[in-house]
Amino acid sequence: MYYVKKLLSLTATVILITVLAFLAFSVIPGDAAVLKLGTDATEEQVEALREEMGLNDGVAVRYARWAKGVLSGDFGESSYYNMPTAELLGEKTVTTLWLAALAIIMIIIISVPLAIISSVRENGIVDRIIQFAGQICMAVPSFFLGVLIILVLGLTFKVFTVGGYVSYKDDFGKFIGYMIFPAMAVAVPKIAMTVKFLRSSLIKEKQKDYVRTLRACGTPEFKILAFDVLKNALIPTVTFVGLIIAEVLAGSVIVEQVFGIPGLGRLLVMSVQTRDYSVLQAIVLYIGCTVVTVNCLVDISYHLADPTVRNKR
Amino acid sequence: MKKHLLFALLLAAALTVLCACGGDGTVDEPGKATDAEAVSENSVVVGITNDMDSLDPHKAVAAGTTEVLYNIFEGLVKADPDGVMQPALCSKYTMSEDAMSYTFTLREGVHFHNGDDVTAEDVIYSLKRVAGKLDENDVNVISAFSIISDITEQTAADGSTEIVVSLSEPNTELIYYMDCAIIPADYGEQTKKPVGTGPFRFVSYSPMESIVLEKNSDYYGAKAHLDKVTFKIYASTDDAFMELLAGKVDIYSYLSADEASQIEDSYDIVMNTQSLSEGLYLNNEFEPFTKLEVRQALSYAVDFEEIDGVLTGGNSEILKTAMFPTFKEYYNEETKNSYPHDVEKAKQLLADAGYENGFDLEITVPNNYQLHLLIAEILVDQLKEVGVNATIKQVDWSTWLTDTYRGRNYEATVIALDSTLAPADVLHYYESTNGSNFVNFKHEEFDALYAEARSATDKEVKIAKYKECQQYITDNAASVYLMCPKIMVAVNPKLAGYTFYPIYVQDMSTVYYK
Repeated sequence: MYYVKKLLSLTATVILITVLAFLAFSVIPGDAAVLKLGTDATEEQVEALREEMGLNDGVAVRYARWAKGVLSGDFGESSYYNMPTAELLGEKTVTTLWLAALAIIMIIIISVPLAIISSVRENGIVDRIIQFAGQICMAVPSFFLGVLIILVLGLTFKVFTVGGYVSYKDDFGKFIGYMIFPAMAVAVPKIAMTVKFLRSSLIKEKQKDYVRTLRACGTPEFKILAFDVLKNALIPTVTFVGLIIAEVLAGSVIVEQVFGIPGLGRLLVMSVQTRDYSVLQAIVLYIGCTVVTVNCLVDISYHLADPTVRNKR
Repeated sequence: MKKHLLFALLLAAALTVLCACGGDGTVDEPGKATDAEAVSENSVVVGITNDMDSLDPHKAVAAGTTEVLYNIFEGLVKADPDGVMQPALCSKYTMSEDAMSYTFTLREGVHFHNGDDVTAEDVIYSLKRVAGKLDENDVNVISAFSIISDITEQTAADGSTEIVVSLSEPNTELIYYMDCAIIPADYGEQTKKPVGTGPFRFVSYSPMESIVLEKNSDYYGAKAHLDKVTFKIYASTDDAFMELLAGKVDIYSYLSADEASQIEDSYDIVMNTQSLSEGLYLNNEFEPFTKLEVRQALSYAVDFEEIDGVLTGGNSEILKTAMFPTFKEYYNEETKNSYPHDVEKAKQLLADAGYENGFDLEITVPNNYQLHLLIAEILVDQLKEVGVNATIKQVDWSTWLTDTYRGRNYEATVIALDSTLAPADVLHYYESTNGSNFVNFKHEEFDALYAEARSATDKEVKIAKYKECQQYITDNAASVYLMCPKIMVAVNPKLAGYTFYPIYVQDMSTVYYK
């Protein structure tokens, strides 16, 4: 029953998101037909194209037509690119997913060791330095960090060429080499958060009775940390990282813009500029679904793992 | 010790994630990369900042698209660097004495990129598609084609195939539109895999990334020197410039004066005057602008020297009328001396019109072109000197097209108007009833002059009338004309042959390695 309810509220949320996006889009001035034809077209030409694109119908009719198409797996055609939206998105999604994946890998491999080092000696010098740096990193938004990375690593030290994006299809190595930097911009604030979370989780765990028992039995300290404490502390952290995944996807949208990466984020911005509603709707739907699904999985995992949450119902 | 163990664990975890991500078929194909390197010595990368709005030449309108498609497609005729229409897919053309019909002799033995012959059927199909005559409900793509009454095929006495375009009224300027692309009849894949007859053929296109062309070795004319051209699409002019600094781009146009000075050691900078009339366009129906004195006052208030000096390094051409020097004999050069920068005169005129205390003015600027915005910022300062309190309102391109251009809901706007090579085209914005008359310039006297000029078949008469039209626009200060901006193109010093045309295109067929 719980899962059915969850699923229903999920679907309702996604539908609401698409409706709102559609409405917002119909309010802003300009449409795809006007943009497509530019300044040279006569009123007659614009009207004809509008008719062809179905832009003359009311918002409700257009939304219904779009929704019907989506339900049958047809995301429509991009009015700007004249190609099926699904095809257009497919390629760009891969780019954005790689950015997100790299960011998540960075978050995991950097924040776990930092949190452990930090928690070894609570309030020691190392801990304080890590905490202080963490505070700063958390306060910096990803897009600004992106600008800083471009300025320092790209322009001053010339570690990479700004704007020198290479498609994953052309040269995978160069692609990853470039994507590391935007991924860094996305990851750093999240690393700071994860370190803070995992650190306190580790410290809490270390004060538990079983740790004292293990110590009393003469188990080496690093074994206690690595096998027992870390394992237990990681459980709440996993759900926390789950929540971060959704944020990372959203953060990529802006960071892509800063680094000139042709991914979903830039396509989203483009689709607003070109009034390309089928592309915009598809991306909104995609991001909406991802965020909602990840949140839902986190909820469910809590539900499964913690009997107290389950029994409240 | 404990750290080593942890790192090993984490590394293993990270690798698992990596492998899992790699499983969706996104791994690179090594074969492709080596192919690209093999031809790299005779290929160029051209940086562009606008994405393609369509690969179908009859549907593409953005200048950023047509500059690329120019290499793939050709029309019956093609403009040469001097703006003269030279035979392309026709071997010769003639216009009837009364300017009521044009006859094109089809060039023999020309093939499309798919290997098919170019036939009269293809030509008629293409022209009818552009004229909106394929189907009852079709709307024309080029408005000037509305005067075409019929397009037919006939066999000449010497056996060659001729295409006759008949008109419903005399027109000597239609030839300037006959460069519209000839495409294979009933070919349905034009938006995915465009097929034309040009010196380059289409290889691939990836939205927001690049469009790749290769040499058409079957080309009937002078073949291209380059084997491969990659137009790389950048998100912004800044990104493109960074790649230029890194030496990864061979040709990049749209440089600002400042950028040009930064790279002049490592690149050749070639310049040309653009066929654009950049200006502060006034809505002639907005309250103060209904008065001639106010429009003239603004024309005196602006200082071309300052704008040109700051933004285009003193290289742009001053402009005081709606036409520009590209039109050669049609251009009325005398207008250039009108409205010299004169703040006192401007103040006097404003006072005469009853605006001694100035007025508020909102300048709408589309935010997709940096130059317009920079010009608007300087104009705000210059107008302040005569008491006009101007503010800038930035809008996106779609909003500009809808509200400002089509809705005519604005006070003043900074924009550059382009044109085909037909003189009628550049002046059609000022015809009272024209849908493009976004400045609301409504003068019967001008309409009469314009109609005479357009329909004149005698060249001398035509030139004289068009010059009068321009003088009329200048005298009535239809808007505040500023300049033909200079275009600055960075070219890899190893390359030569970059050619400018009076229409905005990037011709790669003439470019070669020295």
